[in-house]
Amino acid sequence: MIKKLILISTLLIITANFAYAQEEAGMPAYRGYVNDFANVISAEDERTIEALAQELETETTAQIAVVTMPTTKPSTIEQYAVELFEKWGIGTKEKDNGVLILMAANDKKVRIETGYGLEGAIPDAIANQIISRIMIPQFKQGNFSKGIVLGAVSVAQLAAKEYNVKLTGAAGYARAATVTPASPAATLLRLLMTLSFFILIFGLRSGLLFYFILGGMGRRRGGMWYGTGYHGTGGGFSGGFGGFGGGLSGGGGASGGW
Amino acid sequence: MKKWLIVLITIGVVLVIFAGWFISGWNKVIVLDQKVSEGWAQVENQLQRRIDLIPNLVRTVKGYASHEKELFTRVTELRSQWAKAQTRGEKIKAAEGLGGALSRLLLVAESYPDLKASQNFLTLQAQLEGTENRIAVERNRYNRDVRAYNIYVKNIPGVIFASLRGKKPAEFFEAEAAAKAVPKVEF
Repeated sequence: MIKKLILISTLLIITANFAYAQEEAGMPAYRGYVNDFANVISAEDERTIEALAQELETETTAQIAVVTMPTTKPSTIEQYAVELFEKWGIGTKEKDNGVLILMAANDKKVRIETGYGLEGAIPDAIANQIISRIMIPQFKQGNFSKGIVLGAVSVAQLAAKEYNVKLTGAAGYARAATVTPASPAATLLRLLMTLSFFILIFGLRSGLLFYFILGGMGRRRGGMWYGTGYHGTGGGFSGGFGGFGGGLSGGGGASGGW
Repeated sequence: MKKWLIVLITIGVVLVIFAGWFISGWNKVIVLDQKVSEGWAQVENQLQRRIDLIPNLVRTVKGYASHEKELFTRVTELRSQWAKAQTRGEKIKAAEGLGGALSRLLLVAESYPDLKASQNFLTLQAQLEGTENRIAVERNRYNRDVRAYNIYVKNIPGVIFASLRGKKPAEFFEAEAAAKAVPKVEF
């Protein structure tokens, strides 16, 4: 009797504490690494990207999501990308090492959104070059599928480089998907970006420290209760796509239109 | 004997529930306030990132448009204003001024074709755009946290806990009109 009452009151208190969890509506659910909602990617290219993304995740835990939409309206592509990134949780929760390639076919807009953990591997200026030199020229000719594959390969290569891994998949595309070597000035700027990246990480770290000290809920991890959980692959088995891992982005990357 | 026991248990349960409610409220103020502070730290990181881009940007633009002296002085002024800013309100004000001045600087660049075509400038522009977008994202998240916190500390029972712990409502960082209209590059 007493035990039951204590149990009930404890439960009441716990449920009261869970009161705040937030959901965002109006976002599609993901199907895999490639989500071709606008139907512009050929079946073969889709397989190529899926395989490459799988290889990347197995080797490095980094995750790539490729999404095509007819339109992102009423949101701008930048707003939509950051919200979708947060909702899906691309990359692992610990490293935020995800990248989203989002293309809005009718809006004629494309964006590469980098997770916090890959802002050093794919600086804004490089993301910009991938878009303006590799993807847009293809899009302008109507080769949407090819532009997206090249963009995805290029992003995957950069992410793999960050982990000192060389990807074997999509070898046929590797050359065309490499951004031209940066000029000395760009290298310098890249250094600057890397520096600010470390400052950012430091900021995040100290934020996390507070989180541990206070034992409160993690910042912006309201997604905790509806997240898909961490599905990191062990590397030994060749499983399929196991869902995204709860990574977060902060508006890094670049956009372009054609 | 039995009645007495039931009364005691009821009182006990009520006390436990009350204590639980009190503790959760007592902590919630701090948890929400902490989220606001962390959100602000992120905003500040991104604002600092923008500041760090300025010397390079000014140098690059100066090379082509040296007579836009007034604008350069204004940017430098605002930059030192940022460095001097102590409170959140002062920093917000300095950041708003800078956002406006920087978009004017980019606008000026439009009338110098050589500058616009230089690789250095294009890279800087991409970085500045990325930074502005990051600021927008972190500002949104900060405002979201501020909203949650303010709603709690302005209503019952949050207002009680807030005054017990000496916490005041937090300040929003509204998007300034100038920064909303960040100049875009067309390819």
